Amino acid sequence: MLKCDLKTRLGDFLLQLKFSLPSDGITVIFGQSGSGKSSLLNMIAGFDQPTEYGSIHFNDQNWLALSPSGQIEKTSIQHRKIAYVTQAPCLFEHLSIKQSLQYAIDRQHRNTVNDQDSYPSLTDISQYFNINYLWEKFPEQLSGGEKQRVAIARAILSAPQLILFDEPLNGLDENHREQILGHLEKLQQKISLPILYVTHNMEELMRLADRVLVLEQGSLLALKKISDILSDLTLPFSQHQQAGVVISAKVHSYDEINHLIELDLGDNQFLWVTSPSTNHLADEEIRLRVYAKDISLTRQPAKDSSILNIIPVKIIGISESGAGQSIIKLSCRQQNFLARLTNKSIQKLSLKIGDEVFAQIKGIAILGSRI
Amino acid sequence: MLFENNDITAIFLTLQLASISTFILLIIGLPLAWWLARTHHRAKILIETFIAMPLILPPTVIGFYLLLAFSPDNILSQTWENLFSSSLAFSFSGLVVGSVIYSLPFIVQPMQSAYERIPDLTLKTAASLGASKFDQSLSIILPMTKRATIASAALAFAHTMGEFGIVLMIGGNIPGETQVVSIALFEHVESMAYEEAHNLALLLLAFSFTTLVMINTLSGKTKPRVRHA
Repeated sequence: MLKCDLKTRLGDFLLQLKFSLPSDGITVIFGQSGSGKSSLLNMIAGFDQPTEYGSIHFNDQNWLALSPSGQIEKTSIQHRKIAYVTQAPCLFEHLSIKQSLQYAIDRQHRNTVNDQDSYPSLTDISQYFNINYLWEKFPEQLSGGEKQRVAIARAILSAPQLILFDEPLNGLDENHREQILGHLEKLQQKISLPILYVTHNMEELMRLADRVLVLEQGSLLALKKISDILSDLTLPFSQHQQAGVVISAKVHSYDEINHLIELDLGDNQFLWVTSPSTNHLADEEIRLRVYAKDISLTRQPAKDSSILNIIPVKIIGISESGAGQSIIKLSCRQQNFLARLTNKSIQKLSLKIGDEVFAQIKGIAILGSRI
Repeated sequence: MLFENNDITAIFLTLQLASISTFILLIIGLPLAWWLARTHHRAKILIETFIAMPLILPPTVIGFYLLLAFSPDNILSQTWENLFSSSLAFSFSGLVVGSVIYSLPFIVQPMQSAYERIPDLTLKTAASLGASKFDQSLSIILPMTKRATIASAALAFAHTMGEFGIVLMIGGNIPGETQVVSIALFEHVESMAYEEAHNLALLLLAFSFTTLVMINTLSGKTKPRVRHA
C-alpha cells in the first residue's frame, strides 16, 4: 500500500493531493503536461520534497513525514528500494552496459526479493530486453531506444519494491515505442512488482494501466480501475478521439479452424475474437480493447449480419460529445462499453437511458494476456 | 657531475615538498570543490574568492602574512608548537602549509567545474539503485572525474615545484630543510655560478613542459576515448 498526502508549491503552481494505492499492478498517473505528474513521482522517489507538508508511506515504511511546521523525518533515496526510469535515460557514461547492469545487481535491494534464486538474472533480463549485443558498448554509442531498454533492464535488476516510470517512451520513434511497450505489457508476468507509470499518452494508458490516477492542475481528479476510468462519461477520456474501453475476459474455448477464441464475459455471454496465436490456455485472462467508434446499436438483433459479436446491452448513460455526435455508455454483465453514435441515429431509434438494445461490435483487439 | 650535492638535496627536497603538498591538497581540495559545486550557501562567493586570491596576489604578500602567522607570539603558531614541538617559520612544515594555500586554486577550480558537469540525476539514479553517498563518490564521482583529478593534481604538483616567493619569505634558504630548486637556482645566479644555474633551470623547464603536455592530453584537447563496436 502506497499512501500519500502532500502539498507543495512550485512558483504559482500548487500540487495538493491525498490518495492510497494497493501495492500491485501498474498504476498510471495520467494528466496533461503541467498537471504535476512528474513532481508527484519525484516526491515519491525522494528526489524532491514538498514545500508545505507531506507524508508518504509505503507498506509499513515511513518514507516522508513533513509537518507544516517544518519538522521532517525521511527515508533517503537509497533506502526506499525503488527504481526510477526517467524520460531521458540516465546511464553511467564511464561504465559499459554490462558494468552498468552489474552495478544494479551489486547493490540489489536484497531483502525485497524473498527468493533470490527465482529472481531474473542478468542473462534473463538481457535476453528479455534484447540487449545482450550491447553489453560491451558504452552509453554514448547507443540509440535512444537502446538506452531506454538498458535503463529499464537495470531498474528491474536492482530488485526494487516499487518501479517508477516517468514518460519512458517520450522522444522515441514509433518502432522503439512499440517494442518497449510490448516488453512492458508482459513484464508483470515476469516480475510481480508494483509500478507507477507517468504518461499523457492514451495508447500507453490503455495498454498498460490496471488502475489510473488522473491529475488535473495539481489535484486528484479520479483514481479508479482502468475499465471504470475509460467508461466514465464525466472524465475527458470518453470524449477523446480514441475513446473506448479496456476489458478483461477469460478464454473459454478456441476454434482452431477459424483462428477464433471464445471469451467469457460472465453469465453465458461470449465474445469471439480473432487471435493468430494458438497457445491460449483455458481460463487465461485476456485484455481487450474495444473502441467506441467500432460499436453500433440496433433495436433488434440483426439475423443476417456479417458481424460476429452482437450482444444484448443496456444503455446506462448518454453524453453529448459535440459535432452532432454522442457517446453512449452500455452495460453487459459486469462490463461496460462505449459507443459513438450520431445524434441523428439516436433520434431515429429514440434511444434513452434504461433501454435494452443490441450492440454490434465490429472490432476487438487483444492487448495482451495477464496470467 | 651534472648536479652538485647541494643541488641534488634541493631537487629531492622539492619533490618531497610537492608530493606531500599535492597529497594534502587532494584531501582538502576535492571535498571543498565538491561542496562549492553543489552548495547554494551565501558564503560560497566569498570562499571562492579567498581560494582564488593566490592566483593574483604576489607570492611575497602571502609569504609576508604567513610569516606573521608563524611568529612565536601568534596563537596559531603557539598551538602548532605545543602540538608538534617545532616551529613553522623557516621549517619544511611551514613550506608545506604555504604551498597548500598557494596551490589550492589549482585543485579547487578545475575540480569544481568538473563536479558541476555531473548531472544531479546521475547521482539520484545511483542512489535509487541503492548506492550510499560514500558509494556514489567511489563508484560514480571519482571515475567520472578521473582525468580532471589527475590533471589538476599534476598542475598543483608542478606549480608547487616552481614556487619561489613564498618559500623565500617563510623558509629562507636552509639546505636540506627549506632550500628548494628555485631558491638554489637563485643562489647560483647570485654567486655567478651560471653553469649550475643552467642545469637547474633546464631541469625545471623540462619538467614543466612534460607536465603541461600530460595535462593537455588528459583534459581532452586530443579526444582520447573513441571506442568502436
